[in-house]
Amino acid sequence: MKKVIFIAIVLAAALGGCLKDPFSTRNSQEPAGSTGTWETPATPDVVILNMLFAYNEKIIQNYQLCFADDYTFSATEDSIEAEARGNPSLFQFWDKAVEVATTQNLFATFAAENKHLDLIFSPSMDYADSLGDSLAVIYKDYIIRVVAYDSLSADTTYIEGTVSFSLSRTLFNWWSIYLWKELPVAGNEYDWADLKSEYRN
Amino acid sequence: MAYRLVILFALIVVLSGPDLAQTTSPVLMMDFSQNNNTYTWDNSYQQNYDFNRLRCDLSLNSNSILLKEPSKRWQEQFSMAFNADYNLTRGLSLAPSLSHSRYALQNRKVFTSEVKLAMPVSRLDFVELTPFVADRAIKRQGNNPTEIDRGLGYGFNIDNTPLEIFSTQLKSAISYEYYDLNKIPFANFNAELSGLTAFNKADTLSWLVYNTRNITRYYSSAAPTLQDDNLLLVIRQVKLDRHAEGFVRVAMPMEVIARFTTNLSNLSYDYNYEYQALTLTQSDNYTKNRNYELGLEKSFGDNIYLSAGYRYNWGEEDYRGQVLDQLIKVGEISFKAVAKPVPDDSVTFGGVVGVSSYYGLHYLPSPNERDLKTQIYSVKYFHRFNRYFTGEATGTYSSFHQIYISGLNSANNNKNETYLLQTEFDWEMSSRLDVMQEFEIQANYITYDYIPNPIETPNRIFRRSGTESRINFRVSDRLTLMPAYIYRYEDYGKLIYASDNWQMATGWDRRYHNVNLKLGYFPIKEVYIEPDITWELKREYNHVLSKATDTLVVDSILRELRLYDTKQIAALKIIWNFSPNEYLDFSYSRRDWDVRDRGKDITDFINVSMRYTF
Repeated sequence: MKKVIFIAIVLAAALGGCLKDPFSTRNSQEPAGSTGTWETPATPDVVILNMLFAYNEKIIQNYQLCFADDYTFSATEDSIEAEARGNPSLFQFWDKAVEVATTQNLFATFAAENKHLDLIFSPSMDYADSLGDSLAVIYKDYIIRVVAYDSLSADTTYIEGTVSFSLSRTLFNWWSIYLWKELPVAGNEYDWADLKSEYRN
Repeated sequence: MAYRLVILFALIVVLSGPDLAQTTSPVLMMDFSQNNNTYTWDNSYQQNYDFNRLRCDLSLNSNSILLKEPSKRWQEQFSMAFNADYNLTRGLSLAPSLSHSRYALQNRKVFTSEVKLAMPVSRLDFVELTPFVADRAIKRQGNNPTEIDRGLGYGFNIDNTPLEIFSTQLKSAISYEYYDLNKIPFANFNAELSGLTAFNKADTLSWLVYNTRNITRYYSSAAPTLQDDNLLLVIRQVKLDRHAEGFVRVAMPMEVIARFTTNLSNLSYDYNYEYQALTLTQSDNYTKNRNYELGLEKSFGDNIYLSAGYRYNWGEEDYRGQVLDQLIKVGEISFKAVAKPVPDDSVTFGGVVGVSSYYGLHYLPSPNERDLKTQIYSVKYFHRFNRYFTGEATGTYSSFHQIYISGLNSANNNKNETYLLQTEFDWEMSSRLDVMQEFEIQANYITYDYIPNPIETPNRIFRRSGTESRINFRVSDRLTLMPAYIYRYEDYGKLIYASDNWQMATGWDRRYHNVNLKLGYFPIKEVYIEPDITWELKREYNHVLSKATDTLVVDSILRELRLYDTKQIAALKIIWNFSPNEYLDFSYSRRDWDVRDRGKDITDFINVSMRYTF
């Protein structure tokens, strides 16, 4: 009886189209565009550069390679503000899957012709980086330029702030980000965390 | 109001409790840490009382963070809760609860207070019903005028007592709550049904389905330019989460164990905007996911173990009908074989092969359509030379081949391959002396499918090797010395295919030394002291092409020092275990970091933790 049940389930799954060839891939077209920028993440700095280029080039595959499986995004001040707005779960349980889906959503929006987004990093003026053998913390000041065009004009918003990226050396000795923290900046109401949170589902 | 009641109840219970009730010991935990200009305090206090028919729980938690620079900023969270359960009669009790929380960020504060009264009824057959009424108030003050969001809430939980039908244990739960707050009302509904069937020896079938629906309103965090004349954008969100999962384990003929796992989920969000904005940032979206896994395993006595599995995953992500919305299909097989022909040797071989395909959902073909082919294989050999000396060697190969289908992105198609060989030896030289030695060598190749220019190639190679030695010398029962040394070499550069051969054009190389001496000492049984000193040196060299000059006859590759980085870390840890469940833990470390051309950086880190049971 049990064999019948089991075999029935397997057959049902197979007949339901639940099979995909784990070996063969599709053919690609000859390149008509340029190569995105991605280097082997052999140092923490390279991971941040890869992330920067992936963000600006809107290549989600390169972006998700920058994050560790146990990744967490933390924005303490924005979390308190979200609590005040009545949406306390906005920043909760922000793991790698949420980060990739959120960024996918953001890239999708800014891939549209009437929108544009640029990210610029510069070394933090207030915090010093900490680089260890297997752990590192890198601080970056950022400027995000968001441009929305319509037929008459362009509306530009600048978002500025400071973030810290905690990185670790893990699989195949590659570095990846396991913690991204939005750091408080006095008088800064709208920051990167707020922008990201708008694209969280 | 509620927090005053909580304090009042807490005081009554704390002051009168020991005389009236059987209590579990109250637990106080305090933690302080300082890392440069960040100061963190975490404190909690928990106490439970059992007055025979009345049980009470009191919980206080606080978290404070002070950032001293660049400007002083305080973040504070405090919460207290008092829950009681008074048994009126058999199967009927009264469960009042009070809670208060405070979230503060500088002058912005959110206070939440709630008084709740529940009445658990468990005298009905098969069902435990818990209706409740509540009064909640949320006070928000700060940049905007102080706002109070207040209203009544009600709801219920229905749980069935374990029910057995046709040898299946059934469990179900339904809950609903609605808070009619005057600013931001919300409602949650959840229904869950699960079953577990055990048949024959150890065969099982388990399943679970649930449905969750949340409705809430909240203020948008949209960019200031998107806000309409100071009117805060109010968003109504409806979240619908439906999920089903099942698991079957069956013992097949020839003692083959088969497992089948399935997970199905649908998650959708629908939005309504009470004030229409020109640019909407959140719109209706959904994700769907189906995951099926089949696994087979068989053991041949204690000597051989074989397992294999297949996983199929299907997913659909639709955010807003844009170009990156996608359909995902994954097919993956995995296997593992362990052989232990003789007691002193074992070999393990395992691997995973799979393809993840991403298809466009609305625009066909999508420029982001791609396949990712993954292959990971590893083999490990373990040998016990004698009872004091063991060794193992591990070889790993991984390959990730990313293939964009569209010509717009196919220039990014590349194969990322890594070869890794590791060895480890453990030698117990005497009852007081252990020695451990590790060695690894690794090469990582990234080769692009389409290379426009053989010299300006994006192909890269990263090589790495390292060794790590550790000694554990127990000088006495109280004193242990733990010296260690790590050395690592890395280089990185372009990978050029020329003259029918792969050649490396090194861009940089790096050498790393780390010497560590740790000492563990128990002056008395309850106290542990661990001083720790580390010295690190890192040197990086750039490889640059220098044209022929008066001193250089031909073009040459010069190796220039790019980074000379030394670091000294002194640390001290003291742990005082004044009972099996109580401790005082102090640790301090100071890092003195000197980077060439960047000056000196000194960092202090302090942590003090205490757990005390009254």
